[in-house]
Amino acid sequence: MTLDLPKRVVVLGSGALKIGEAGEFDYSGSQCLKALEEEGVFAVVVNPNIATLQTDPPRLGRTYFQPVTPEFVEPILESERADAILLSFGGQTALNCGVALHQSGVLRRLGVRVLGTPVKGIEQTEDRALFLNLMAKADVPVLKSHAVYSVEEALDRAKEIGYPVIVRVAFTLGGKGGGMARDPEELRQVASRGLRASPVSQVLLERYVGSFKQIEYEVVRDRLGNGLTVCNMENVLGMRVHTGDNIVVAPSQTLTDSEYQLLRAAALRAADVCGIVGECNIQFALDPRNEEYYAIEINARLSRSSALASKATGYPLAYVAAKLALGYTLPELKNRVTGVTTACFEPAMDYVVVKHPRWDMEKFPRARRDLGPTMKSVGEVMGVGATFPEALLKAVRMTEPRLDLSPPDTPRDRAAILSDLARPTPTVLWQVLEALEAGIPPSRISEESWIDPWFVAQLEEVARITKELRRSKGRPFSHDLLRRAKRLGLSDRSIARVTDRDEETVRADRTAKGIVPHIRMIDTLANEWPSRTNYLYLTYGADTDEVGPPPKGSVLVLGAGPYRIGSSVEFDWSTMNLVEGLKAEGVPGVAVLNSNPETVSTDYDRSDRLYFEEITLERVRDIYEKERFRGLVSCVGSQLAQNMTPLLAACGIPILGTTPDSIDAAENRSRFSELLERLGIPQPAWKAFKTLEDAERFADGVGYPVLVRPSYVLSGAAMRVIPGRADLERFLSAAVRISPEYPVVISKFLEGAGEIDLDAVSDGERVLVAGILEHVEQAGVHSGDAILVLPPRSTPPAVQEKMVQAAQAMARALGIKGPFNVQFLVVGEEVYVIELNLRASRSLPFVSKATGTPVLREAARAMLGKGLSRSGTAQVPFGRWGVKVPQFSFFQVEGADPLLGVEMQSTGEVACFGPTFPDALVKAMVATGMKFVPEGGRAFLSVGGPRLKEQLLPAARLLERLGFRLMATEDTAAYLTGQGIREVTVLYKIMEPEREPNLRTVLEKGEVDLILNVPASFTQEKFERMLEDEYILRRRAVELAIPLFTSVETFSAYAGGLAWLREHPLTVEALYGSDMGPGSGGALDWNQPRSVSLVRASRKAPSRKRRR
Amino acid sequence: MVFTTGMVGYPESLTDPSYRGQILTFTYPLLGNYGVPAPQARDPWGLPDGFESPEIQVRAAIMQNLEPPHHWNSKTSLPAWASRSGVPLLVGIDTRRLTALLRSRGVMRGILSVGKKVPSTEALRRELERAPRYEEEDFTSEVTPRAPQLLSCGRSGAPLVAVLDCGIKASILRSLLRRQVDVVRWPARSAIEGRFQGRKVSALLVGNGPGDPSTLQPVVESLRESSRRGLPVLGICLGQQLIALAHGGRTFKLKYGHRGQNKPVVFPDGKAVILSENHGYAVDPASLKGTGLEAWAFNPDDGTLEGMRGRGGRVLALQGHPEGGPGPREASFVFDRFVEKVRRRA
Repeated sequence: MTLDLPKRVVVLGSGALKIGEAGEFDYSGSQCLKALEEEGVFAVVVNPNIATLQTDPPRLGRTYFQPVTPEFVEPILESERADAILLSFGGQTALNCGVALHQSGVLRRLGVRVLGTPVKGIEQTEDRALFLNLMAKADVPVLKSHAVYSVEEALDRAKEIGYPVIVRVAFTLGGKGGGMARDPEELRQVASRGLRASPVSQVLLERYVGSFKQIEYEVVRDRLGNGLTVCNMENVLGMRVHTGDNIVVAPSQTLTDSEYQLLRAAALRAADVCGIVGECNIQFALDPRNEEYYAIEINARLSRSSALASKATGYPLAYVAAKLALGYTLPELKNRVTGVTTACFEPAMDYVVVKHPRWDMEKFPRARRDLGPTMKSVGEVMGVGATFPEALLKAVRMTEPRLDLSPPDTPRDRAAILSDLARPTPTVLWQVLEALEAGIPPSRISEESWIDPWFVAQLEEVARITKELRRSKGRPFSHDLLRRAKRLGLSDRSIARVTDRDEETVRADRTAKGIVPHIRMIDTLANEWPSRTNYLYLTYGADTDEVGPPPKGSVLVLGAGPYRIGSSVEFDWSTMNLVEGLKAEGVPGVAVLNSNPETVSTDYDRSDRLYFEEITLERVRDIYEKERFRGLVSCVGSQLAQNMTPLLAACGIPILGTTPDSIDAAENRSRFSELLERLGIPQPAWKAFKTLEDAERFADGVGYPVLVRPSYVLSGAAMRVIPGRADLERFLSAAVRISPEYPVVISKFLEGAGEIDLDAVSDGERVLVAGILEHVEQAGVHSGDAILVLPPRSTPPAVQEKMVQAAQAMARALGIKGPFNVQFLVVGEEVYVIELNLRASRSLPFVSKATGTPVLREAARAMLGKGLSRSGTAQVPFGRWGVKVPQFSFFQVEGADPLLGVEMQSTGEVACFGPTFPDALVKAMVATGMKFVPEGGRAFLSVGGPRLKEQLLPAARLLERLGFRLMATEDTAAYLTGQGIREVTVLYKIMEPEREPNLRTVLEKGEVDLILNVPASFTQEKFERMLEDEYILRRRAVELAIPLFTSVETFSAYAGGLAWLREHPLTVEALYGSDMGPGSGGALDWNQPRSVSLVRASRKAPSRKRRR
Repeated sequence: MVFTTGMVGYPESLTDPSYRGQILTFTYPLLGNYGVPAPQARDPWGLPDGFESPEIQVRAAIMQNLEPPHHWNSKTSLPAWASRSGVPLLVGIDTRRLTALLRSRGVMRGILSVGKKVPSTEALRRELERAPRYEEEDFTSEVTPRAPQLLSCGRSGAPLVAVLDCGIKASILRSLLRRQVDVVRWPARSAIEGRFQGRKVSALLVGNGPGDPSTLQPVVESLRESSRRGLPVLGICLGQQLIALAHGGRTFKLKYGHRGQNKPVVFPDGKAVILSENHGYAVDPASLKGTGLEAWAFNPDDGTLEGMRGRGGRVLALQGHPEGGPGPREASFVFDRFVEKVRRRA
């Protein structure tokens, strides 16, 4: 059949990683680009997410680092003369942007056709009323909402619907004020509260199906209407918890054939009436007591679930969806795993997969931890096993290698456990085990937790074997017991713990008994056809290895595991760039080990072998004992992989690149400090200590504030700036408890210091500096939360040279072979080294792309003992600025305090480029959802302390000049008027509601467009109420989507951006392209640059469906 | 010994008469998850509810793990049910490895020793040698009714369809009854009569069943006889093979068969459906030349014949199972087409 292939397709990405929209869209976008390239279709990628693989220099296409919003995409469609657009590979962001472009008539005007599911179909899945009609047409039941205006009406309606019911409050953000009611008594309360909270005195009433099973189907469908379901998935925590925060198993475990087919057929009918061409995800609620069911939602696009289904089955959903969008039909496509069968089949799994979310709640101390309808997790993992417990226990360790899912030795009292079970939190599985340990009957556990009894029974197996193991304390293991324990997925470490042995003894014992895991293939069809797949996992449920050892000289690369705050898609980018570098250097076999289904590195056709496995010492050793690879790479898998390096080396596993001893010399604070001293490189005064008295004496000596942190730091965990002696005492107990085996370090905190990141690669002799990144924020804001600029704005060349020399000296002294990152503090002309990381850094994709330096290609050479092919310092092309801006997800995490500090809190990042700093900055800020009001507006300012007030002055003057109305707290206002700013309205604090004009009133009426709040850095008791007041202010700003700044430097940069926007349109240009010549991005005028003015388009359209 | 790649539907598979005489291996590693419905349960037409026949048909089943069951509709567990039925379950086997063996060497004979005594491999081998071969056994007699049996859909004046019952699955019968036709289950070896209990027989369905079709000569004969009446005919699974044979076509044995719920079937217009399958033999499409039948659908993976039609639109056959049980039911449109023809004739 001849296809009507488009010539130039714009592919919309999803922008920065945020809660609810994360790395899965780099996977789907990358597979889409592969499909387009195979067809010779030119792909124009629009995605500001700098750390993604889909935005690497394309083989056939161009890359725009621009916000994915209609005003930026329109000029790209125009200047590229694109004839088609793909909306379904960039999450809700891309979908919303595409629908808006369609509705405003832009696509029709420019003659751009939407490939895949037509916009009409998308609209029907997005609009609640249309969706209800559509499902009626497909004969698929849905839950109906009833609007009520009084408590009596609510009670009448509830009688019809049946209890429990859920009350949703109309027109409030985040569903505030709603809730579930089990009986009329509760409904009376919830409804009256909700009616009061609603500005239109209206609440929506719906049947509450929290106790139902939550089942999802992934559907693919072609233009002829051929449809099939690639996978179904069951949510262990049922309907009550958002699927993104749920523990998900594939395939479903508790459904009969009748139920499976009932929902499957409904999914296909629903996809049919939507006219899906490509992929969609459908969620159902199924009654656990009969076959009653409801369709909850359809996502007419690739999603987190489809990425999971893709990895779970080996069926490349996104790739197939792209081909279907181009016009292929399912029988015309090959199954890429077997190479002989077609893509027109439903994968048969002969294993179980369990997805477990990764939460980072401890990064948000004030956030609510209970799980519910809003997603809070920041990443996920997928365990593969021959039994449910094996897959589940693997998954738990994958989320955090230190973690084991096992019952506590001494359970709490029943009441406490039962109450926890009824309100699940990230530790719900532990509570189920605790309940079993406490002797609570499984049926009761199910009743309280709404976890299906089947899953509770599976956890009972874990509790039972733990009991049996405990009984073998001090006695030798029986072969049978050990084998059963391993088959259930228990780690050597957890077996060792419950039996009072050490891990090594358990390992030696079981290997002597021949109890070892075996390698199995994931082949999409349960071995029905021979396949040469390299998609592998290990299980104790297999008798033999299905693959032999790899060719001699092979290398294993450790991936980064789940995305989490401080380690996300940038490390997947590093992993894949290094894999490609190693392949390019002729390594005969490159294997990847990773556990994260949202990644490109877990696409089995990207490496020679893919182990979808846990990144733990035990498992890496299991693999090494089979493969005997030449070397292991641990420097691209973030701190997780890096921390394992010394342990792996101690087991005799050869490490490729920088030696474990050198890594220790950089990680161990006192060794590192000695090194700096020897090299004559300045560092802030510091000391490691174990007792409070020593610490206090030191801090008094150097003077407050001081920075306190443990060694082996991951993204600022437990690190804090301490303003005074009282706080030091209070904080220390917590920090010491976190990591007792490592000493705690206190260093002098240099206030007002500039911060610089330097990324480089070395072969032990020569050094290639890939970039010197200046932070917009002063020291004190974690480098992952700071805005980074290339080239440096205010660091003189002589100072930069000092840093390069320090980097070179350290590289030679430690014999660094691979990528490394140095963090500097700059005070005047003085440069201090604060940290050296002998691994790929977060900023590596940014510098690589901005300067066109393939850093990890060079790293691959260095690791293999070949010299670097070039050295020196890479530069961004003259006249170009690159700005990297963090993305925060505070809105999603109820209660989280959006205050920046030394603990990293951002979930993602973007970078944009332009001919000036403000041009690049504004685009990057817009790309993170920041609103600009260049036409003027109202700004509220509140900063603590004289130093910050002084620092704020230029920005305040600028805002005044731009015609902003300034409002401030009493102190800040007094300072500003004292400095000659004429009109500053004083707003009284929220905690003084009787005084007007009050901040609360202004917030509630939406009479403020910008908020700056930098609390003073002291925490004495008497100021606690004031601090609480400011917290409420920040939280409200987040919930009302008002631009909020908690650093004067960020605010000043933003104000500069506002001034720039008054006079200048923003540029829209590709950074590079396959048709733009080498060093591409160099030529800024490669085509007629387009531009966007935000002055007109600053007010955003009302937001559409939220991300799931 | 055969294997199936289906991930759900073990009560249905184990009671599917087509599996009679076979040892069934499940590639999906967890079995028994949702227990087993009440074995005595009957649907409104008196057919086993949740099962394909009243009893377990396989000689034995091989699986990796047996799970503790839970489901609202479960009345017993898989091991309890099997044990009451005297059917052994072999648990703890690396079934993926076994599947690789069956796939590469082809379907093979197996022997399972049950009991406390462990016989020698040699003794078992001798026992196996002595046992009758699959092709030699007469499974049809074990599963076909002795005399015609009438099933009423419950509506008066409904047309009557004869089913040549070589061990038909309850789901096929239900698919007809649900479409408001009455059904008479006909003993496999006797030709269909024009009338039954004074009522006109309007059409013929030839269903699934165990055994090698080429050894079912008496059934083929009776079918050839019945075909002379010019009735609309629908063939399913073994039915397709028997119809081909009755019209002069040929069948052959597949190396390891198609058993699963994920099989693609492609029609000439490019339309495709996913189908449940359970067959070890297939019709040679080349042999249809001159039979008045034509190939209608293929399996795109190995090119086997998945459907045929012909004789002026009178005959329609699918190699797979449009009724699901277990598995998808998208191909159930063939029942609609068939019943439409039935009504036109009635």
